[in-house]
Amino acid sequence: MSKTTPDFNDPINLQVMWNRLIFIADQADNALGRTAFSPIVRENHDYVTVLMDSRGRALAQCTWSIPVFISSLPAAAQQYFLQKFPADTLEEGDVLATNDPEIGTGHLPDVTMITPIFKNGKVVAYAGSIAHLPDIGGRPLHSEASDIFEEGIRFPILKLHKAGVPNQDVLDIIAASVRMPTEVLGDLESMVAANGVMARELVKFLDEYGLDEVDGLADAIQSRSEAQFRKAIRAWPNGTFGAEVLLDGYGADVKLKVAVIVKDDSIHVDYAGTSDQIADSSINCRTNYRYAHSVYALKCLLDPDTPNNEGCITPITDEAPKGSILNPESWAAGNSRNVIGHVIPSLIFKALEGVVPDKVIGDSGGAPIWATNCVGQHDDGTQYSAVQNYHGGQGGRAEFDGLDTLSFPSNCKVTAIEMFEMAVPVLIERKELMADSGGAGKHRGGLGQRAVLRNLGKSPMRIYLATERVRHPCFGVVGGESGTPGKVLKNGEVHSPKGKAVLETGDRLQVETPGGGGWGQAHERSADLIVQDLVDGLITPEAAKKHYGYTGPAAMAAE
Amino acid sequence: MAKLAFDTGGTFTDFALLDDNGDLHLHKVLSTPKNPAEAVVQGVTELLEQFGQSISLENLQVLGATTVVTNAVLERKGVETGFITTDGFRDMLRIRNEGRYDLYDLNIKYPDPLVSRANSFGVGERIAASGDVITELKEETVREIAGKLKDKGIRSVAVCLLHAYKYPQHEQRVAALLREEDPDIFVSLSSEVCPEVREFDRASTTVVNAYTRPQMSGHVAHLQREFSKKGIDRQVLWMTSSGGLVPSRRAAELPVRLIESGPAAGAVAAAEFGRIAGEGSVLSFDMGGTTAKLCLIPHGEPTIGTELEVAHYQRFRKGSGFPLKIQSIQMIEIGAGGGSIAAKNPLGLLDVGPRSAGALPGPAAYQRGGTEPTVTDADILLGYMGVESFVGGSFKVSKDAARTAIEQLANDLGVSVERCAWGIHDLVNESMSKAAAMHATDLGVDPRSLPMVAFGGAGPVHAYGIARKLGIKRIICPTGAGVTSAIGLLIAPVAVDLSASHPMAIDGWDMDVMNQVLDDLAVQGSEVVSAGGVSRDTITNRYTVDMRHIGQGYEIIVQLPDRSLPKAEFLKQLLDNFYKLYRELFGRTVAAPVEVITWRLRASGEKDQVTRPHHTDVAEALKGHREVFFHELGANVATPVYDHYRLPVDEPIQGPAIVEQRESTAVVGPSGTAHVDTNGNLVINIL
Repeated sequence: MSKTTPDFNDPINLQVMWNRLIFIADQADNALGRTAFSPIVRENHDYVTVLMDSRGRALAQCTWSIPVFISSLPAAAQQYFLQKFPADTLEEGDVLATNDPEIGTGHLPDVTMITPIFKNGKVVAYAGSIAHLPDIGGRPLHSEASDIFEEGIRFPILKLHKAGVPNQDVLDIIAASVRMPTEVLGDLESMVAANGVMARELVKFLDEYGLDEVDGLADAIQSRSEAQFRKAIRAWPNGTFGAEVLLDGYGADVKLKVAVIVKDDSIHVDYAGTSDQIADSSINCRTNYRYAHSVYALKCLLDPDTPNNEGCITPITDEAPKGSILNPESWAAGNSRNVIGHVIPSLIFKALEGVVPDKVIGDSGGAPIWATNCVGQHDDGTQYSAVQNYHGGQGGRAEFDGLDTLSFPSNCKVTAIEMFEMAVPVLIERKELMADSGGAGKHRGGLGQRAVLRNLGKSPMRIYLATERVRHPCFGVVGGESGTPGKVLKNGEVHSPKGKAVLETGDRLQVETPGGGGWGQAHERSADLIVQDLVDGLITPEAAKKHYGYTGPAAMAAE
Repeated sequence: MAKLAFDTGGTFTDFALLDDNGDLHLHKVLSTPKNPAEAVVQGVTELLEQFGQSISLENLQVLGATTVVTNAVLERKGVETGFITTDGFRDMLRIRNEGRYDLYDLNIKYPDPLVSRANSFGVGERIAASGDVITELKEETVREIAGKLKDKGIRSVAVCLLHAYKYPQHEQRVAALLREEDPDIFVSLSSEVCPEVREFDRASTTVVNAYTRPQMSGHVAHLQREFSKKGIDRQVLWMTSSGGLVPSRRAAELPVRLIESGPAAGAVAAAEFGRIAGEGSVLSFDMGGTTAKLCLIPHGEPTIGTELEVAHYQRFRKGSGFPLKIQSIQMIEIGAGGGSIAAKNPLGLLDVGPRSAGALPGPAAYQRGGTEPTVTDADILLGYMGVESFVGGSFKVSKDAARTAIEQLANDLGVSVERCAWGIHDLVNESMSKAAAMHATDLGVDPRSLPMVAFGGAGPVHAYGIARKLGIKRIICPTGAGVTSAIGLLIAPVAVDLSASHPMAIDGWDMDVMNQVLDDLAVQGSEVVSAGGVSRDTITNRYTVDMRHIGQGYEIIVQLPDRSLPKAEFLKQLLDNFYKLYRELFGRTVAAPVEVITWRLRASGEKDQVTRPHHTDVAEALKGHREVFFHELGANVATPVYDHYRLPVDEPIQGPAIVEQRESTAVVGPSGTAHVDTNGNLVINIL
């Protein structure tokens, strides 16, 4: 290998070295996923690994991610970790961590961990990871809590390891406060190991290329990405583009209002006019969670291909009024902040439908995830607790219909029915697409699904629900129509979409997830697509007639 | 016993014949994609004409690897298929697992299910997770569907009922009822194709089987008839994705198991070449025109995994295809080969792939319409591949055309042509080495400790650069590197992999139930393997189990101890095996209860050997010199070019050097020395 310092502006060098940094983050991702114990980390991949430069700026991130993680680690590092623990207070083997929602990702179960990487006795970079622990004490994860103190324990930024020695007092307190200490401590250990992988591999990489620091390389990556991002913004017209949406909220409607302000090569997102925070529900969405979703939506539209790093983040700023549901007071409950936060990308797409009509998509039924957390006792008296997610249809797109039943904007796979029925004494009686649920349009929204759960156990099953869009369906864009709203029924009767549903033996809970909103005017939909939908039974002949004015022969045949 | 192997590939159908005297003959004919059997019959005819006198036909065993199944799925040329599942779940194939394979791309798509929604049906029945029947099968609903299938002219059906891996009787009854209505219908049952828990994966696997079955049945029957005409009466044995051979009948019933037939044969060959070179574990590297396959072979045995994916909507994007739950040799496929196109990305950086020029239009140097620069063009321009000796000189290529294509890109990037060509070559090496490192560490192995077995048209060209990146010290380029998979067929044992999902916690262990599950598997295994010509008493049964901590989501595959041990000792050994592997993979163990999810059997005959002493020729091995670029030297240097087949055994060649075979070229860089070993393999050692 060459020992002269490589030229970071050489298009081939940079690509090779950049790929390698992403690979290092992916290796750490692999280590974390395989050693983690809890299903939420392994199955849903609710974690992230990020390499940061010596200033805490994002350099490379593991390929797999969910939106909340794209900006939260570097923000936490720059604004909090490096403030509290500057480089000269750190030594090799230190591991810093916190679960403070203000610093991390907006809810207590997520732990943010940062490990300094040393070369020649100097901090040259930071390895960071965030993972969603299976428990953090307090109430089980759902949407009802009055303040953050009901939601679990909180530890400030501290040295979880000091010079390689675990801080046993802190670990003991955590273990004593959570329901599943083995899994929780195991997952923390996995994060330490993953950060260790990044540290080891980065030093190896620096040795190989004869480098003493990463900041020069970081500058090259970040400035190139930032220039690309800003170039994409400049292609948009200057202006203020607004939208608002009503959500079911908790008890009363919640309004989210946005103004996307495009000015030359940067974008500011302002949520003025958004509803106040809610006192008795944990759907308040903190700044860092909101900001991540603002950035995510814009990156999808402006530069979906560049691997995420600081350069993709800096051109975007956002704000929301203090005390609003998107910038709540520090004591507000926020465990289920995704119920509100997941809708942000759809809202921003709506605001920009006149600017980039071919890029935005209709509102998605996966915003938010519909979570059912089933808790109770098996017939033999042992405890069960397992979450199953259900997703609605993706919004219609300029070129294609929305995909049916898709996790968007989040990205969580669901558990197989056969596996879920082994974990929980439940019978899933059906899980099927709902014809006509996708909003009409030139390209219609994806379909929602209907699932029916029956309690097979002898004791009651408590199902904690965090669902939305029951009164306010997913809207269309560029003239597309709304999808059908969601629905929760218990034994055929309408049930509250948030909070607890108790199923006695044989009782049934039915969930119907929302259909995605359409893209473009329904009358522009091609007859071929209408016929195909009729043949596939994805729309009924009545709907074909009502929304598309279609009464052609295939509709007759399908009847 | 004489053996004749054929491997149907995208461009060529390769042959390897081992005659009664133990001599090996290699052959290659152009593939006939419309009817792959034509090329097979042609090649067999040609080989028999030439070497017929040294073969007794009545004992000749024909062996096959095929792309028929893969291509039917990739090109969506299977038959119109029906799908039957439990009522309420007919949308399973469309709903998938609800995740996305790309976070930022709002326009992702998945391949359309192989069965349309209109051809998907639910039958009234339900089985619980325990295996108890909750709702009896409503036979009238099956008869009604059978009628509809008949009206639609559907000849092949996949049946996947919930929890059928645990209680297959409902599926079996559905099959019987369907056959009552239409005796000729092909019925694929999930409880037979893939008796494992997780409904979407099982259904997806069963559907691929049903979709390709009539075609594969036809192919098998056709070849069997053609061979019969030549006096070859033995059942053809076919390579499965797990590296074992199965008789024609089983291949025709379970074509999904053949989906990675050719690559599996390549891995079997690489394992053997590593063994005869005296190596323990090797990294197999097979690089062709559109893809490369990397396979870690620990201790001479490829690792068998249970997860596979085909027909990716976005090339090689994990999660964008159809999942298959079948036993297959664990390897990774990288979307880069000789035909991969190099281009400037929006950030102004060089990208190679995933777009490929394929065989048509092909690399610019082929002058068959391709104008975009490819990896092959870069390799030609750098001097790694010669223009005169391409595929033995039978194929005309142009270095000027390669240069023109790369010049354009170099100008766009603002770098010199040499820099650009080297960049393409090096970037491909970089992605291969990263993939190899990931694959090896996935399996808990340090890739630096492994020798590499390199084959395929482009494998030996790139092996040196990749080995240097990985820190690999030794490369083995086998003879016949262009037909390695066919050679693998000669070596592979008759073997079948069977499985049954039947969860059992260590705390509630029942030896009797276990023995019944395993005995059932053994009876099935013996039937298949003996049909492949292996006598029942020489069959080796190897049992493994998929285990995990209760509450976890995925399992690790653990060796089952001797089942004649007393229960306490048996369980102790089983847990020891589990914890040992768990620690190896994850660096730690956890104090939580453990369970078995799936039971597995590999029933197998013996592996064969193909050793061929290298015949050195007295003729001069040096063919001449050409200008070749080496990054380590920072320049083009006049480099000697040798003929692999004429090199004397053990005579050292100092790099830089080029060693050519008919279908591939090995690059020996400045830090390497090379020699041909007694088996005729080129061994490159790197300082």
